[in-house]
Amino acid sequence: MRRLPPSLRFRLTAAVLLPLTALVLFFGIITTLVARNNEADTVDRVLIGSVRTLSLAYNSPASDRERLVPLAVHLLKRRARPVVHYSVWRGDRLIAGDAALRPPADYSPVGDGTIDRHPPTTFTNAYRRNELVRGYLDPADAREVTQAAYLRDGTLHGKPARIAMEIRRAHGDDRLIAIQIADYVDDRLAHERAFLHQVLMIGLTALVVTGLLFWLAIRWGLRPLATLTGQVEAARRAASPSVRLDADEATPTEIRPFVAAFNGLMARLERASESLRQFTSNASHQMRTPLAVARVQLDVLERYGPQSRQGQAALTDIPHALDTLEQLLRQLIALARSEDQGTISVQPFDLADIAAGVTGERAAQASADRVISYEKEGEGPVMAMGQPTLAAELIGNLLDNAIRYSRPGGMVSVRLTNGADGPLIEIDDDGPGIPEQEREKVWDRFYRIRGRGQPPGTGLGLPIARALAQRMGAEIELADGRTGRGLCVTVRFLRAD
Amino acid sequence: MRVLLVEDDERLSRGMAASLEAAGFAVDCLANGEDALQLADREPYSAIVLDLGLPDIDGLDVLGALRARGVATPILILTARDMIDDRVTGLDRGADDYMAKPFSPRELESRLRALVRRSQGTADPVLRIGALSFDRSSRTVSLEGRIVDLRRRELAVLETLMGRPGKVIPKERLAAEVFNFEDAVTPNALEVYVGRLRRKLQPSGPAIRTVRGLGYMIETD
Repeated sequence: MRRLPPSLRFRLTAAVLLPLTALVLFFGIITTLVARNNEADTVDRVLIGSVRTLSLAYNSPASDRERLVPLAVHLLKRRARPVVHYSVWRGDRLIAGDAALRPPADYSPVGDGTIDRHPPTTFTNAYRRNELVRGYLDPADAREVTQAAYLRDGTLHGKPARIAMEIRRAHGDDRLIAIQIADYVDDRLAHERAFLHQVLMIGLTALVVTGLLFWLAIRWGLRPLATLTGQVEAARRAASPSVRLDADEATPTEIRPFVAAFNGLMARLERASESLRQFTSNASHQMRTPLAVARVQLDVLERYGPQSRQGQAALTDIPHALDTLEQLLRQLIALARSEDQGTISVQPFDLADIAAGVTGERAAQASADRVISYEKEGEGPVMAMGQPTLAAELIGNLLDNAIRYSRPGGMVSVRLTNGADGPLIEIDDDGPGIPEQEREKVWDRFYRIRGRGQPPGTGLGLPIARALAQRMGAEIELADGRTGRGLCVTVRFLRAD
Repeated sequence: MRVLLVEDDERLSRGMAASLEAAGFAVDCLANGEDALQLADREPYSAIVLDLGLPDIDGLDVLGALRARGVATPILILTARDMIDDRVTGLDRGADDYMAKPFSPRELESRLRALVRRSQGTADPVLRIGALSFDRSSRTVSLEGRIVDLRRRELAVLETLMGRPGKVIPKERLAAEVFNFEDAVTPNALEVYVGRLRRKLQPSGPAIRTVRGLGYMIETD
């Protein structure tokens, strides 16, 4: 089955309507139960009242009885809730009413002296609190009653019925008469059903109206979100890369943090994309000149031939251009790798071992007119925290830089000390150095100090070194060379505890 | 045609100069903006190729300063950036054309020739005087339909003379347009080239007249 996407409106409506429905059902049931009890109580009162009325009519003197009994029956049948089914038995003979309404099995037609075999029915909540004697206000009325009015559940014509019964000795008669009045239970049930139906309809109407109002309210309440969506949509279609949501005084307080967070994120993304744009622009800029050299010199070679003076120059310039490109590519890859966001496992390692190894390797490669020295304070290993391969790359990078910038016959020295703040490596050269005011800028990628006599470079060496250092938590600093000229690069590693 | 090339990358500059010279241009190379400002209007350059990424002065500023000073020489800017903004700014500040690095040297030559043609007001790449025609694009000269075998300098001298037919061109001016700074030119080198040209254009070509004390002129009939 396909699921609909979750809707806020649906969720909110459901969150309100479900408990509301439960509440409506709960109160509906309670109301119905109360009404049902009331209804049963009312029916019972009517039956008991009616049976006593008829019983009293039979207790009147014989001359009055002829008139009173039909009158009582006549009145009972014309009540708002008519009392229809009755029977009067004298002994075991029916004297009036419906023969089907027979007395119960425990009825003794002659009387066995038992008074109130069944407890008389009483109604607790008689608000007038009149003192009743077996249900009669006047104790005299109860005198000849052997069974005060009580209720039982029975059947009449095969249908369940509620039956009220009173047994008394009629005026001037020594035989017992049993007066019964019955009402079908299904009448009452029908009445109750109608009531329940009413209650449910009211509840349902309330639910529908509430749901509708809620739906509209949510739509109205969520309108600020639609406004924001509109803004984002408009920004998406617009050419401008800069997207900011506007929060005005109509913006709800609940949405303001979102707007602020969104704008913050957009600003960060813009900065990132701007720096990426800058980076690619710089990288392509760096590649264009050597490519142009290669193309132009190839053309020269084609025009003049390899034996000519121009051709000879081209034959040295083309490999040089390719070297430059190669170096740039290598450094771009190194930079990408050094900025790899992946975490590295920092571990204690012997910095002395790494530094000595890298220095020895570079000294062997460097041309003979550069003096490369390595100096270490104290004996034994110098333990630092970091990553041996990254540290080797970092030191190698800085050393390459120092060698490239040092003067012919110049000196590059690597010095390792175990300082109070952590292991320290200093790489010193006697080249042109970096003027004080340039020392911040050289960390920018592709930044090159302008001026003649600068060896070719990409402007990526120091940024790569810094990125490598940062990955290991090391700090890197630039200062004047120790001899007063050139550059001294200091890298402070984390101490291994 | 003499061209000033302002490019700080020594190798690129060397290659471009060689390439342009092979195409018949006399090229002077400068590596910074300061020198370019000094020399741009000192010599009769037909065009200037200006790199925007110069070490001392921004190429765009060099361009602006030259135009402000009234230098009308066609200027083609070279840029290593591919930002549209750079090109637009360059053209708006007075450049006549631009090329982004890396570029095809042949295209650079064609564009330079086109710039020069436009600046001289001659749209036709072929210069014609009578039976003589000079195709400036292919750098071939033909007389009555036959190719005349001319050397690079001879072509340069003839091109300059044919560019202003019927007008006297002073010797110094002619030399300045044909030779660059590095050409070791003896005073009578020009006479030698003119002499050779006269010989090679015999018999049906236009005459090149020497106007004593003034210079040379190619006759229009």
